[in-house]
Amino acid sequence: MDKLEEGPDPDHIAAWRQVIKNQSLGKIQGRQLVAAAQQVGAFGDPRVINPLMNEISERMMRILRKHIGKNHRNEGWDMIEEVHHQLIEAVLKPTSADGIGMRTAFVARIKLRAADAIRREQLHSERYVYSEDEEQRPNGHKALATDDEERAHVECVLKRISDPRKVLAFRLHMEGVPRNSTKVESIASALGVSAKTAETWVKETEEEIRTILGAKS
Amino acid sequence: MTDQTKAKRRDEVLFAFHRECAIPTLNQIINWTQRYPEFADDIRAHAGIMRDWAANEETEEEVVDELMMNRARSRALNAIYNAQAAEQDKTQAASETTFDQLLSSAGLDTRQLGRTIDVGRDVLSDLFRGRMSPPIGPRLVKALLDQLKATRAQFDHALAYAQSHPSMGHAKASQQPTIIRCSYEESIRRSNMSPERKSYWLEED
Repeated sequence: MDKLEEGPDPDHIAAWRQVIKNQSLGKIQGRQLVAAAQQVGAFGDPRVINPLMNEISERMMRILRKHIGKNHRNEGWDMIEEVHHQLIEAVLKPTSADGIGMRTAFVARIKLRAADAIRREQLHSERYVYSEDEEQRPNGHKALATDDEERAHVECVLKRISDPRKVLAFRLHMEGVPRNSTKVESIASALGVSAKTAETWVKETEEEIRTILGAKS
Repeated sequence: MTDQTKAKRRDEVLFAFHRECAIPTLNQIINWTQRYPEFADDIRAHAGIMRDWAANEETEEEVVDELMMNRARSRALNAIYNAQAAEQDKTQAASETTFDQLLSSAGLDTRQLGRTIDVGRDVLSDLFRGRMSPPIGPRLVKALLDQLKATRAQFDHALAYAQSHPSMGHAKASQQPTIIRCSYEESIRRSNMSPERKSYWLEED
């Protein structure tokens, strides 16, 4: 996404017509597509507003699919479509918070809403934890051979831990620094829990990973 | 802080967090939760999700199939349609004409208008407050258009507005205030005008 180009000024409709004619909308930054769509407006030339909205809409879908995993209900599609609906409607509401947000930082705004949806799911759904049967593991039950494969297995295990705070504690713990009391204190402070709890979470997660990886190898 | 303001503020803080810390580090999480203790839980939850994303960054991207893309296109078209409808509603609301506006631009009030065309104030009140059901007598309409310097379309808009926003009758201890509608003829006949004026407005002459 960071290789995308600057587009014409939002109000330079003739230039946007040319971009559409050249089928180059895909090369332009999302925030500029949104700014142009807001400038053209719903009553603008359909040969301009329709392709702009389509490009924005498809780009949103790809970003949402990338960030909302298949480990959610209906493989994440319900959440994706819900967020997509909310955001695509906001594109043509230039004064709405999401309308402004997408015009400022397109991908970050979509990621914010994707994270919101995941958070809601974490808070309200019992189905966040998936059974082992539904889990898709790379390489099936083969013995672990490489670091990459081992990392992939660790990720699979982390996805199955129901408390996201434990996962974060573990990730922070793995951040290159050896475990010592200062490190535990910092993790505890980041997570807003006691050092004892932070240490227990890290240990439990480590044990869980070790058990599963041990069973697989 | 109201719930709405708090939600708005929360969105602003989290949006800034997403923009500034794509892969939040330990120190960033500590800094942000200390800066915004009221949103600390949200910041931690989002940080966890963002770290999950970063860890899975290299996994192959899922392709969105054609069916889902078609549904997305359809939502995009709906968004255009909904924005047009909202815009039309706004324009309509702006062009809404009321009898009060017509009176005010003609520099008249109900009493003066009644006296000028010699019609009972109670009749005008029924009309302006949405209690008189159309059709309105042609003679009265013409007299009003002349005095209010209004077009027939403006009159019809004002009438429609009055009909959809009728004034209630006076509240009574025994019952809820109600809208009592009457026809043009009923309004004229029960008015305190002279019998001659009543006949005139009813075009019985």
